[in-house]
Amino acid sequence: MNKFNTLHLLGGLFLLALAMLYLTLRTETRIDEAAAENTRNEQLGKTIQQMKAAWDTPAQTQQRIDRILGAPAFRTYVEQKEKTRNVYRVKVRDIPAGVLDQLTTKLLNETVVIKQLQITRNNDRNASLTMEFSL
Amino acid sequence: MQLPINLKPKRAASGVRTVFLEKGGEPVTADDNVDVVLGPSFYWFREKMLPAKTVSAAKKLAPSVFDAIIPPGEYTYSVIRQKDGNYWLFAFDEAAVTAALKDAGLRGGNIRNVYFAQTECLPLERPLRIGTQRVLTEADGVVTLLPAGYAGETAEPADFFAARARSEHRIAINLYRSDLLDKSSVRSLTAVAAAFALIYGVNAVMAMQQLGTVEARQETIDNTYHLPQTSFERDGLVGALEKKQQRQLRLREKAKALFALAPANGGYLQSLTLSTQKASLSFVLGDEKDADALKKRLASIIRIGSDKRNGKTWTVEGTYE
Repeated sequence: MNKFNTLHLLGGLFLLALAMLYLTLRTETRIDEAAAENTRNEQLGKTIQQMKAAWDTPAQTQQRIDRILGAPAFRTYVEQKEKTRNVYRVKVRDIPAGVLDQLTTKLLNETVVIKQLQITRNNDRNASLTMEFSL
Repeated sequence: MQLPINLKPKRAASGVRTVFLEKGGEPVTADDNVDVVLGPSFYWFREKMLPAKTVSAAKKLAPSVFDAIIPPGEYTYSVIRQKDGNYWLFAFDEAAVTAALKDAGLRGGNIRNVYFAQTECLPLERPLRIGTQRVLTEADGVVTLLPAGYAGETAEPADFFAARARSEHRIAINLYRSDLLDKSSVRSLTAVAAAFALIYGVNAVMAMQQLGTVEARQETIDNTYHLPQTSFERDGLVGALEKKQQRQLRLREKAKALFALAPANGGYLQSLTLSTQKASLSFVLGDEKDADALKKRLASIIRIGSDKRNGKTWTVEGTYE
């Protein structure tokens, strides 16, 4: 029993306290790192979600375009709407210049992926528009 | 003061030497591990029948047994229960013993166990010679020191201890006493260290629980936003989306700029075909000389690859980033 003494106990407890302190500090560092990573990932997730909602939603692309083309100001000029696997093609014919300006402004402001835009002047008053959208 | 271990190095059956420590004994240097037997001058001994059922209860009574027998001071008490129900009670000054061990050149790390002579020397067939003047002998079951003249034939302590195994009655003693730290200070520091160990331990457990929560949140975020597993894949996805967004915004920017082109002298844009990175335009010029000015303006919007003029019709093809 003479091997047991309070200094051994004191030393052991001191080392234990140090070990616990080290463990606490290391864990807190890991918490900070994980929390920072969470913030980054959440921000990244939101960014990805927003960009996907804008540019990577084929299902909504057609709805958005149809909603614009279905407006009373434009619908009478819509000649053709054609949908293939990857492309939604719209032809607008003999549309007055002023109305064409409104329509192109609306379409260009919509978050849809435009593949091609083609405008042909028919005469002084009207023109034709063909647009292809990626689905 | 030179203290005194009157034992010549000799190994016991266990391989550990036993040295006998007594004031006035012969000094011996010991570098290896040893057991130490304390001579009677280091302790007070009483054999008593006590109203105690356990050793720990008897130990509480020990101070009163020695009260008025030993000088005032701080003592440590040791109690051994005998088969006949009596108790062997020891009182010793731990500081004095530690100092004597130190003076004898014995370091705490070298001392395996410490014993009382009372527990290690009985039965004693022949007195043990302690130095030249004294002998260790037994009187009425008590190991005691007497002048050498009282004994006839004596034995060497080294031979005696080498021939006998040590008992189980080791003394609980702090061999690492420090002059800077007394017992109460050590106890206080031990309590403080224990408190800190507990506090930090609890903190560590709580921190680990918090880490678990944060890691669980990480998983929730990944699932909510359907994030790819690796940062490489995530960067790739973000890059692709950003590129797509950039091209679409650029296409709109170019479209607006091209719509705003108005050739002079009654000229007009006959047709425009615009895709991502490519543009094709056809102008009808009011005056053929207007082509150069228009070309300059167009060059600020797209990189002109080719242009062809046919009368007043000017066709241009180009690209943009």
